[in-house]
Amino acid sequence: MILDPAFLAGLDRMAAKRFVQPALAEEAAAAMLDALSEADWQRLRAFGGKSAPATYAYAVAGRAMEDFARRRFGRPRPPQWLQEKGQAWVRLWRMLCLERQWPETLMQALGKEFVDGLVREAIAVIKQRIPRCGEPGFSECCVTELGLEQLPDDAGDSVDQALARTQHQHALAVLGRLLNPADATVGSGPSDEEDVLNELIRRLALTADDRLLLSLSYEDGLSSRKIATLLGTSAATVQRRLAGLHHQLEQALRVMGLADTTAAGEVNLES
Amino acid sequence: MNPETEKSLFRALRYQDQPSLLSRPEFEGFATTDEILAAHADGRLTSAQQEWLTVALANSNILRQQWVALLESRETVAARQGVWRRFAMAGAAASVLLAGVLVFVNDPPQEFSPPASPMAESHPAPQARAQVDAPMRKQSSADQSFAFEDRAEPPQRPAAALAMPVPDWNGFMAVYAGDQAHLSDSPEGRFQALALSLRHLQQEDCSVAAAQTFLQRLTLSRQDYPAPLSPLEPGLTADACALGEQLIQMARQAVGQ
Repeated sequence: MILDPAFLAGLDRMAAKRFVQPALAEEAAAAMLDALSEADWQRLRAFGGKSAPATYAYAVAGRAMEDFARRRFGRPRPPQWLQEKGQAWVRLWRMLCLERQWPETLMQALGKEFVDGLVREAIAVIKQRIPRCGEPGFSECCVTELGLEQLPDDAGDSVDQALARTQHQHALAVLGRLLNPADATVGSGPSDEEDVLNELIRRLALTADDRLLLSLSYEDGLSSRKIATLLGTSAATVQRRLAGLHHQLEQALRVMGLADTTAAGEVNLES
Repeated sequence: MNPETEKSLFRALRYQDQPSLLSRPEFEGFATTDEILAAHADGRLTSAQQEWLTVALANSNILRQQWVALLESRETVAARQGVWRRFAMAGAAASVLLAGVLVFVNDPPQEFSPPASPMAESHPAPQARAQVDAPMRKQSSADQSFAFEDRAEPPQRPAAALAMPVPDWNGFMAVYAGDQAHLSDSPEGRFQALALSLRHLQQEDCSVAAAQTFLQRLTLSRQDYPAPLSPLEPGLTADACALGEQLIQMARQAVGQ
């Protein structure tokens, strides 16, 4: 099965989606095969029959592909301002600065997967704020200049945890501003903001599907069409549900006396 | 509402505290998250397992990234790269792989089938060749088919031109009636998976999780059989029950029941 051309083509598709440069994609696909065959196919021997064998092999290969990327390009912690922008920006930063993937090709390959203009904007801002992004050896030397520590070798878990903490704090800051619109510098006390956040959670009563949809849209920055493909529904359905969630949030804030009247661009909570 | 406010709040609200998937009783018997993701992709999770996985996917960027990569490996539009070129050049690597495959064939893990590639056919020793051939003859065409669009030979059944063959409807009805599904990454396999999810949808009284799985599979089968399934437009989960009824009516008509 592993050497079946169709299976190998699937590995190629995964690699080509992740790495836009053909040479890099080939290297990644080879690394996936190496990982699968490692230690006498140990990972595949753990197969427990809970899916089709090929599907399991692809799942193992997907993990191996990210292991390859971390091994090959290092694990510096993304700058704080990038983490606040979300996973889409962190992902593009890795691809652009660490993996040195070509900006034009990235825009071409990923433009339609993300919301309109996100890839172009992210590349422009990242290049502007980190001028040496993508230079040879950036991951080894230049990140030191940015004060970025290396993350532990934990398959990315610590990035996830840091991102969750950052976003929680960010949400509390937003709620603090809504609680005290007159003076954003005067805090109403962290416990108040935590209470408000908990009340919002209770009022919205998000389902697991809603949460995943929010992650794919607001965190990963994916287009409605791409999300629809992943969830097996139509782009119109995705847009309707997102609009519904937007409306629910607005209503909940209004009922709680926290209507947000600031216009786009007036809020800047970046540290 | 200010878009930045909305974004910041939704990013924080998407999280839901939960222990790791593998520590949950629902996933007893699963050894790794790879196994869980693979079972999900093949539609073999229960509603409860599906629910917990969805929460985990919303929480973890890394897991979501792996999930997306897995789904992309199964997409039908291939961006063919140079695996064969790489293999042709990397003789040493291929030898190592081949040795691994031979070991694999001698002691195959559960359900893993031996390689069916032209490359494997050109290299194994006669003894191994015989071992490879025997199970291959037993495999159904659905078992062997895996993203048929990517095979080196011209595809026998181009997706755009597919009409629904009667045997596929028969297979669908058999699975719907309770037979075991032969799941594979082929139009027939995906269609049987759709039958399985329809059965599940009705057993679960059209629960949201079952409806979502059904709609996902319907979308995939509509790509395989665009003409016959075109009247069934996947939409809201609330419509899944009615769509399921419509689908089973079509199936009954096709097999003359």
